[in-house]
Amino acid sequence: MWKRINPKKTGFAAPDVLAFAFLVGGFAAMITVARYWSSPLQPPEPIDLSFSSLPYAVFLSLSRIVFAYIVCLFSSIAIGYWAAHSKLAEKIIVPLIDIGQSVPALGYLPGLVLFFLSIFPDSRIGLEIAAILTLYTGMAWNLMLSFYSSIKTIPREYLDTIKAYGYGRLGIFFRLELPYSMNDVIWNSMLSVAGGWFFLTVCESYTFGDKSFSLLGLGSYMSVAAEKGDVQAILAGGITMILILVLTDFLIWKPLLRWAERFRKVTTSEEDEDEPVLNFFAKSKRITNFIRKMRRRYAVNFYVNQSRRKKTKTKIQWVYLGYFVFTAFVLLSFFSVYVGFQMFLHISLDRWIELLIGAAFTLMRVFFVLILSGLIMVPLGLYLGTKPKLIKRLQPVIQVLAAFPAPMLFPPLMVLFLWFSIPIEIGSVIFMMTGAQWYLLFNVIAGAASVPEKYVDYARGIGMSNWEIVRRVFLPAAFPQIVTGFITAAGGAWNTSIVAEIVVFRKQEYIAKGLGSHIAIVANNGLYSELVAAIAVMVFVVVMLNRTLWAYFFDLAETKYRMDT
Amino acid sequence: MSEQKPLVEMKSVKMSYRLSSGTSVSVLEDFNLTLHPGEIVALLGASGAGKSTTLKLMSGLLRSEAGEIYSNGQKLEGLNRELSIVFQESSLFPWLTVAENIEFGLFPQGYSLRTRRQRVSEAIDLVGLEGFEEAYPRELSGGMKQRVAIARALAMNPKVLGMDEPFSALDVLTADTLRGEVLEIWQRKTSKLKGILFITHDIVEAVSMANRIIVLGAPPKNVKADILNPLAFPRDENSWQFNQLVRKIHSVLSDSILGDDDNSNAQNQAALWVLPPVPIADVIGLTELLVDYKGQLDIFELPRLIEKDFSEALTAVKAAELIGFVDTPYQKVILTRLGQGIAHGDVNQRKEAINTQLKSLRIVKMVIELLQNQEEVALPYSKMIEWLQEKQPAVNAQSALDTLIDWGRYGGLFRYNSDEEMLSLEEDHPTVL
Repeated sequence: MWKRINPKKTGFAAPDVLAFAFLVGGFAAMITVARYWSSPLQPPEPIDLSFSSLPYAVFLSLSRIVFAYIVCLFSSIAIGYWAAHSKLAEKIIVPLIDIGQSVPALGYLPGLVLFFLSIFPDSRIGLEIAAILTLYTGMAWNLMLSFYSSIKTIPREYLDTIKAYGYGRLGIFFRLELPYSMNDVIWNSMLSVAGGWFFLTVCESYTFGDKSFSLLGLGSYMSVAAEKGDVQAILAGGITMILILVLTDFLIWKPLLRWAERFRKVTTSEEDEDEPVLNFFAKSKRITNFIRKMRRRYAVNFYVNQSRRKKTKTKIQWVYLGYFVFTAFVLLSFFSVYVGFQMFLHISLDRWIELLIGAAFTLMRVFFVLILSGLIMVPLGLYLGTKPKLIKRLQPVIQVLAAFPAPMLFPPLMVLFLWFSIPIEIGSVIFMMTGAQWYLLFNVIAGAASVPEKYVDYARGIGMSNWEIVRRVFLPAAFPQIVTGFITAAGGAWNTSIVAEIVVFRKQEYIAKGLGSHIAIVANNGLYSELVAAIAVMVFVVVMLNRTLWAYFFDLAETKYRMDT
Repeated sequence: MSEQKPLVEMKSVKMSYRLSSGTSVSVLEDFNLTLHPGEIVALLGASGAGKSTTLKLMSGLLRSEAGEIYSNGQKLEGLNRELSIVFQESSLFPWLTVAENIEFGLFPQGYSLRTRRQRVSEAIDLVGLEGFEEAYPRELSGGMKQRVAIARALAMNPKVLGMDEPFSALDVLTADTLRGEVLEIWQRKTSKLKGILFITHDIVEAVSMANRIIVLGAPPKNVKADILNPLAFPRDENSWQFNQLVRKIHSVLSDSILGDDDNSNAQNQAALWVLPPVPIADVIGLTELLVDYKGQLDIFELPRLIEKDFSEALTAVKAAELIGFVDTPYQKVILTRLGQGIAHGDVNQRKEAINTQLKSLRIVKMVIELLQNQEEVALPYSKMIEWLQEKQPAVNAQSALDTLIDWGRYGGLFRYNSDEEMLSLEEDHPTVL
């Protein structure tokens, strides 16, 4: 718990100054963004690699991330809420999220860009919206799913209590569902934003057919730097990225997570540390007073029981709305299947075969990624998991490494590959690992840390060797987390394949045959029906793997290897 | 007092709940209960007897399938604003402070800030939580948490306070203190509070607090007994009258669970179908305990000795009786010859004896028959559930099957693979190990 400091009645503190500075700055930022958005599309602005252009690029990239996150947060809460409260919606939304998750975010990009460019042909707004929505598709799924499952797991007593006191839907949402899921929402927001940076590098500059587009930003800065092989600029961009990650962690996530701890039902015995940023804001009497006042004043009207109002009428309307959306959804999916098939008919058999061969290659690469990451990260994770003190010291480093967008690592890695003349077919596996391995590491650490000490003591007691303890105690006991780690790592590998199998470095294209490069190439050449086909194949393979192979392991983890004794 | 309108009145209420398997089990049938002003009513009964359901129906959290519920003479539609519930497990919100938790129920009523503050401080004063206003629930002990929960309910200024096992999660001393405090608040009569209805497993608790005790059981006749408790406060738990009342309720409760001799036929018929949900190890433990007491125990002594509540203890006795290890004449538990053998035998002898005893039970016979007449060697768990439901739709098939598997495994009758969820017959005789 951070120290609770009662704001003094009078006086003007540094935090107040800062708070006002924030307001003014925020306003200025909005105007800057608006100006950039409304600037004409043509001629495309050349990306300047000088260091002085970095702050503006970072600012624009940040604005995209923030926008995408805000849209993502609100829509996730709305959709998660709907799925949790309507059986009908649940049946549609949950599988949809599953599929949405397996579509690589970059698969959405071409369609979005074309659509919004046709609406805003003259200004940058169309491109910006397309980029932001692409980021959104990389961010939203886990947040939706976590909010949905949080609501579904609210204990019975809480629901009984709040209902017994006469809270209406709105009251239940604000005073139970939102606080109860706060912790999960913040954790997943952190993951989502990290995912956002990952895709940012790609959605700021791309080529479709004969047109190429670029938006000023850190991502496009990095891709141009890589294209030109400008080592200085690559380094500068990379360091800037690390700085951003460290700062957001320190200024936003750490204080938020600490604040959200109060929403946790069970408290850990971890000793409390001071949270400087949070304390700083707690000191600002204007902010705290303002929040308190608002809460006191508006809370009453807000939660006034709704069961007193006439309920039946609105309820019927909601049901109709549900049916309407359901019907619309069914019609839409029939329509898209029809359009899809129309498109597929135009694709020659040769191209289909090529597509499937590519899929097989990428599938193989994904498995190599899993094997290699497993060989490195499982032992490392098990080791770190048993050393809590070491983890605590290493955590910030690992976190920054994990959040560092993988595509930004490609240029420096590419230098190494060229040096040792490693072909891109193998190099791409390593690229994909950079986007997959961290999920595995985090989960293995968590798994190893959760193995009860009594098991290890017993194993030591009967004279097991260290290797045997790992094999017979840690691996089975951490099995559920290891499986989860592999599943998420596989998802990350598929997603990364699109950027990993085709890399432009020093004006030269390096292409590894596979589904990812296939998608990138058909998108660049404007072959839209093939793009749709390729994405459909990827979704099909990923969903199939999830439903068969991964479902099997997951089931095993849930039953045989569950620890509840 | 008795001239006044009843606080709550339930008239021929019917209620049932659905199991996850889809069958519905009837909980209340043609159920009548009236709570008069000035009453502290205790609801007793085995788990599943419909105690919590009754409370939830009264508060308006559940709607009855048939029958009417009146609050202060008015038919209850929606929530009952005159009744406030203290829930079983501490249902305080961990993200709110003590004061905020108490204030929680006042928002939907639309009270002004001043009224809310006043109510909160009154409630805090009433339960003695001064100084803890800004604390979060996790900083409090179990007893303090329960005080907050009571304060939260009292802040609503209810006419009726409903409590669902309010003290069961607390240690003995804390529970005792809290009981005293609740009675003190009751006797002060400063508030609107006119009646208390609480659910408990503990007979002594019921007798020490309530002035009317209602024993609930399975339908068709839910109310097994409705006993007035005229003892004056403060009540002496060691007094002769107190103990007599405790004994009386004990015997009503044990009749309702074990079944008295008159209608034993019908009851036993059902018993052959449903094994009481007790692990076989507990049944064996019971025989060993009885040996320590020379093979005979007063049934009311048992709960204390095995540290379980009365209805749980009775269920264990019922299980032991079913496979012939004990007899229960006149509120006594007596070890049979077979039971003595079990208590003194080694593991293999026990297994063998249980094997033979189980085979004489009708349900076990039928399961063996079913498994023998099967082409496949094993049957899946889900099939077994279906089969049980078809044969006896009114019982909780899952709990019955789980107990059956537990006993059958011990007795060397069945094999069960929980990975594949398959049940099969043990081919060899049980004595191998």
